[in-house]
Amino acid sequence: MAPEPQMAELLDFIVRGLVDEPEAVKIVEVPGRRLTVYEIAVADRDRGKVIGKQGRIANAIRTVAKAAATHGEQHIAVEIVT
Amino acid sequence: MSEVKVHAGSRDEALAEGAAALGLAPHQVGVEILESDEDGVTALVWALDEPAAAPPAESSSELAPGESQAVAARDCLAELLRLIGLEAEVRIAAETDDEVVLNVSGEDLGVIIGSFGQTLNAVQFLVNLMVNRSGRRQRIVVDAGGYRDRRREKLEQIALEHAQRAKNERRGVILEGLRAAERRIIHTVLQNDPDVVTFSEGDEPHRRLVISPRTH
Repeated sequence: MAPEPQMAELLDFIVRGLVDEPEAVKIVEVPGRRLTVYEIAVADRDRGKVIGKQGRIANAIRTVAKAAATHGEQHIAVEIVT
Repeated sequence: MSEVKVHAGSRDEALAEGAAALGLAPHQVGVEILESDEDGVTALVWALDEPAAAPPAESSSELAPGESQAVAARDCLAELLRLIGLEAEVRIAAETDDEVVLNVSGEDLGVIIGSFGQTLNAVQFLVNLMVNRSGRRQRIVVDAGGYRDRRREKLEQIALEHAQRAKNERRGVILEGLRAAERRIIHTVLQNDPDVVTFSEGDEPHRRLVISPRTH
């Protein structure tokens, strides 16, 4: 029995590992008909830590999440929200 | 380096048992699953080369003072892979003062490598950020099933072939779509070739490498 990806937990683990205020991290799963959107909220001063220069960190998070989603045959999007 | 083969109910039990057999704390050993079945796992447990100063650390994602960064990085990567849904093992393949190489083994390695190593590079980037929060100490290299070595060999071959073409055709040959680390491999391979010079031009992400015949 192959384990399933745990998307919200995965994003929570990554984001908490990047920020100064892990207790302010919130991951909201918004299920849709075609794809599930995951919204990441962090403390204001941590926004740069999850976005990075030219969105490099945000894109790395998306790449890893997409790999997990493809593995679990899901369609997802990851957004950073205020 | 001392090592021991143990049979136990799970990876964690194997690690604890192996560490005890070697007279070490769990964070001072590496573990690799050799076989697993319904009864449990057969695992190889070995002593890691690390400063003996490391006190027994409590399990925490934060780096405890004195805890080996290699172990923190390995645990971080293992947790990432578990949450992605992969049954994979992570072992510390090499460690120096400024670099830790982690190797992932298991099934479905393609998932973690991604096309052209894209996922592997994203994972490596994130693991570096996560474990180097209090100032960068060691660079973490994440490899899967020897992908990076194979990619390096491929790039070395590409370097030599294109240098030959530059010489034969007496004109510059352009290589596009390479990452900085990949371009560095090409530059390094050709730096001692007296007949070509290499340089990069343009801005990321469209930076390209040129291999040009040297004018004598």
